[in-house]
Amino acid sequence: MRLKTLIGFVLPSVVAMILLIALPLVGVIGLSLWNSYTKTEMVRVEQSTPTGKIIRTQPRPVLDETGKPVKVWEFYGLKNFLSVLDVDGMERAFAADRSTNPVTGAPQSWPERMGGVWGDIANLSFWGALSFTLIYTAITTPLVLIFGFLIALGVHAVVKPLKGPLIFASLLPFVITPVVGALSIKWLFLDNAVITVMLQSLGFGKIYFLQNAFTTGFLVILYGLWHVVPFAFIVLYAGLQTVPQDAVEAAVVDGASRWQSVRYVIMPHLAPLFSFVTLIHIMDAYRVFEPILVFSAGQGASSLQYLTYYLLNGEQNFHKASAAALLTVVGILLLLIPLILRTWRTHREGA
Amino acid sequence: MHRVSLSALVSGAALTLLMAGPALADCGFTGRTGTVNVLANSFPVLDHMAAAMKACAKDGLTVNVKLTSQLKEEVEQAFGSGASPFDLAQVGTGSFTNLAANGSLQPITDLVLKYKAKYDIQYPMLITIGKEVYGIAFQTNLQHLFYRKDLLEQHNIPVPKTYSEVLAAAKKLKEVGAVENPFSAAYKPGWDLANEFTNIYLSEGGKFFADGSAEPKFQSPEALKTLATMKDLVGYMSPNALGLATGDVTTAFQQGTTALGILWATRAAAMDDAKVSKVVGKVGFAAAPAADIGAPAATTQFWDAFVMPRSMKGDRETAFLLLMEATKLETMKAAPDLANWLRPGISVSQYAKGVQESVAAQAPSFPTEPYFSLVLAALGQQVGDYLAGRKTAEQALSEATRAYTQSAKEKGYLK
Repeated sequence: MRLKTLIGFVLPSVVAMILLIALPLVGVIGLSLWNSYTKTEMVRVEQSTPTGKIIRTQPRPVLDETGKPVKVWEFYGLKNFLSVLDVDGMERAFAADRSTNPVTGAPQSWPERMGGVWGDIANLSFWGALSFTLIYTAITTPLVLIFGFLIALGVHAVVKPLKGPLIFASLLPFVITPVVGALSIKWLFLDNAVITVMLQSLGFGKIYFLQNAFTTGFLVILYGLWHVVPFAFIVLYAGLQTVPQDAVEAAVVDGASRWQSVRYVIMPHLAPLFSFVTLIHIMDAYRVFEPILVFSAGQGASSLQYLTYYLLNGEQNFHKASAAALLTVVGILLLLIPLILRTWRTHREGA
Repeated sequence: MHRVSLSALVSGAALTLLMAGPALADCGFTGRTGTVNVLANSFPVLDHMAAAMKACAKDGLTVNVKLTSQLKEEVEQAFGSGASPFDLAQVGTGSFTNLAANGSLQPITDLVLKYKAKYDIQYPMLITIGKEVYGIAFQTNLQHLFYRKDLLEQHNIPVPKTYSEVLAAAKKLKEVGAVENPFSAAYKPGWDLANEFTNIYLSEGGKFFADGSAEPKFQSPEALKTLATMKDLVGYMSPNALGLATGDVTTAFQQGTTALGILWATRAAAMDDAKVSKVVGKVGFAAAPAADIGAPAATTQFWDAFVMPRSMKGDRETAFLLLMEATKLETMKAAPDLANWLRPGISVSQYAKGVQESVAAQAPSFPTEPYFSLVLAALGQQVGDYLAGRKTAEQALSEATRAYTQSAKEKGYLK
C-alpha cells in the first residue's frame, strides 16, 4: 500500500483520537497538577434579605481594572494526588496507639491492631471507595459471564417464534437509562415497597435493604447484574449463532452429553467473546456510579467514580476531581494488564 | 349534525379550562421593544411567573423564558461569562451568595426607586448588600414539622415544640405500636444530612466559623449535642434512614407509615392529594421543633429572588419591568397556594402554617458564607459515618474539620 493511501485511511481516526481522547486527557493531567481559585479580600458588609439582616466580615472578590474577578493559579505538582489518596489520614492510621482497645481498654493482640489500622484506612474516602469498587468488580464480573451465558443458551434453545420477544425482554434493562433503572430498583426495595412486602409475606421478615453498608452493597451489586447481564447475553448469543453445527453433531455422535458438548465444543469456540465481555465489563464496573449515587450517596458502599463526582460537586474542586479521575484510569489499566497480556500472547501465537 | 355537536363540545371544554386556570392580569406596561431572555427553575410557580412575563410580549417586545432543572450550574456559568446570554434570572439563597461573591450581579437600586410606588415593592422583597439592591425576592421556603393530627390526638400527645418532646412523643408512639416508624427526615448522607445537622446545630446556638473568618468552629459541645440528638432520632426512624431523601420521607407520610417528620413546606399540599396519599386531612403542620425551650426553631429560611447580571445584552429597564410583572400583587394573588409568597396576606392557607410558625419562632436564615458549602460537603460524609456507627462523634467532627480545612485552603479561604 502506498503511503498516501495509508494516510488517507488512517488520518481521520488519528484526528478523532487526538481530539476526543488525547487532548482531554492532556487537559485533565494539566488540571490535576495545578490549583486555582478566585482571589478574595475580607471586608465588612451589611446584607439584608427577606429573612433578616446580617452585618459581618466576609470575603469579597478582588476585581481587576476591567471589573473581572482575579483568578489565582498555583502549581501543585502531586499535591492533589496525595490529597485524594489521603496520605495524611494513612499516616495517622499507622501512627495511632493501638496497644489497648479504645472502648474497653483491654490489651489488643497483633491481629486486632492490624484490624484497627485497616478499619481506619477503610474509613478514608479514597480507600473505602477503592475497596468497594474492587469488591463490586470482582463479584459482578464472573456472575455477569455466567448469567449472560445461561440466558444465551436458553434463548438459543427455544422455538423460533419466541426468540424475538425473549431477546427484546432480556435487553430491556440494558436499554434503560442507568439513573432511572437504579431509581426503579430502589423503589422496589424501600420500606413497604413491592419486593420488601413480598419477601415479608413469604416469611423472610421485614428486610431493610438500605440499613447498612453490607445490604446497600448487595443492592448495588444486584442492580449491576440486572443492568449488565443483557450485554453479556447479546454478545454470547450472537457468538452461539456461529458455532459450527457439524462439530456439535459430531460430539453428540461420539456420545457427549449436553453438558459435555457445551463445555468442550461451545465454550472453547466462544472463548474470545468471554475475554471481550470480561474486558469491557471490568472497565465499566470500575467506573460504577449511578447506583452509588441513587442508593447510598457513598454511605458505606462508595466508588471511585462517586468520589470524583463528590470532589467536583461538593467541594467544587475540579483540580482534585481530575486527580481522582486519573487515579481511576490507572486502576483500570492495572486491572486490565493480565487480560491485555493474554490477548497479546494469543495474538503472537496466532501470527 | 355530528360535526356541530363535536365543535360545541370542544369550545365548551376550552371555556371550562380558561375559567378553571388562574386568571392572569394584563401586562402593566407598553411601548417597549427588543428581546429579553430569562432563566428560571422548572417549578410550577415559575411556570406561572413566566406566563405573567410573556403576557407582555407584544408590539415588538420578545420575551424568552428558559425553565431549567440545572439552574444553579447554568446561572453561575451564564452570569460569570463576559456577556451573559440571560438578562434576568431566578436564583436561590446559595446561588445568590456565589454570584455576589464572584461580583457577577448588577445593582438595581435606581430602578427600584423609580418603580417602587407603581408596583408597590415591599421592603422584605429587597435583597441589599451595603447600600445597593441586588435582587427582588418573591418567596420563602423552609423545613418544618409535619405530624399526624389523628395519632397525636388519639394517644394524648401534644404537638412537640422541642426535640426532647419529639423524642418523648416518638417513644410513646413506638410503645403503643401506633405507627411503623414514629419519626422521619431526609438523612441521606450528603447535602440532605448536612442540612439536617445545620438545622439542629444552629438552634443549639452552635457556630460554624470564628467571627469574620473562614476558620472552622464546629468541633464544639453544641455539635456533640446535635449529633447525640440525631442519633436518638435515628432510633425512631426506619432502619433505612440513611438511604432516605426528601421524596422518600414524603412517601412515608403519604403511605401512613410515619407520624412525625421534618419536611419542606413545598411538600405540604401533597399530603392532601387523594391520588397519592392515604392520609388526606390527617397531617398537620407546625413550627420546626427547637433544640431546647426558648431556642429558635431548628430550621433555616431559604428564599428565591430575581437578579440581573453585571454584563447584560438586553435593555435593563425592560428586564426590570418584566421582573415587576412577575412579582406584582395580581400575579401572586392569581395563584396563592403555588408558593409561600413574600407579599403579606396572600399565602394564608393551612399549608403556610408551618412556615409562619417557624418564622415566628425565630428560624434563622440559611448560612450565606461563601465557604459554607464546603462545610456541608465535609459534614455530609462524616455525620453519616457517625450515625452508621463507623466513627465516634469526636472522630467524625475532627475528620469533618480536617476535610473542611483542606478544601478551604485549596479554595484560598484559609492560609
